[in-house]
Amino acid sequence: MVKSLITLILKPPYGSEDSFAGLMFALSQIASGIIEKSDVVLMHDGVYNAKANQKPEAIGMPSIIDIINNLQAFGCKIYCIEEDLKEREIEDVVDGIEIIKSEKLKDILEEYDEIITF
Amino acid sequence: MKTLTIILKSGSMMNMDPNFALKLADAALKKGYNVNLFCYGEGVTVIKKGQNPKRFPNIEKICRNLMEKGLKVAACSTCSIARGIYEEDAIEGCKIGSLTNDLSQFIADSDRVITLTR
Repeated sequence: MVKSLITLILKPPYGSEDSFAGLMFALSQIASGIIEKSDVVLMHDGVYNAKANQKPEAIGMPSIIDIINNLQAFGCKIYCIEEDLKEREIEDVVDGIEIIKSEKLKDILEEYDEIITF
Repeated sequence: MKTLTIILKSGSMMNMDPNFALKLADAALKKGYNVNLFCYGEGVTVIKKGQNPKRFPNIEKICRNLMEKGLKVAACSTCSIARGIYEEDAIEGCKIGSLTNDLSQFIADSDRVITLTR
């Protein structure tokens, strides 16, 4: 039976519903009280979700930062792939997000019962 | 008896994912699995009554047929209401439910979870 999940977010915020849906999924699972562990990896274009100083109100979209803050309030880990950040020249990342090298991802994924991709 | 949960994020006419999800559900049911389908995001259009495609597979008809064979179907209420899909608009027997109760329970009861998203 599944007790722990890690959600991979591969898409950037705001251009589509995908990253919002994925982060909300991760948040809902830890909030359910049924799933014990629900963590997140931001990778590929998904690393844009980690960028600090987002202003989604400028386009009337719900805030990704709010969901990230809520995940962190529940004690969820949010990992972000260093190489993907560097490729996109993103340097300012939201506090509390753990930047990891891609080679470490395999070991992290092995800690979870299921891997969910958005 | 083993349990499979499929999380579907594509709409009924968006791409081949709903058709594939239902073919996979059918195969798993034939092998004796319990199968849950959770419709999320645009995927909630799968549960809409009255679909009548001219040239594509009728996802509603396939879904109804599999529900008779034991497929359990639930959809995210937030995503459904956002698209104007309420209980009375949904295939009879499909539950308009929540991520925190219905999906979490589906996942916790599963031996395998598959996400279909693009």
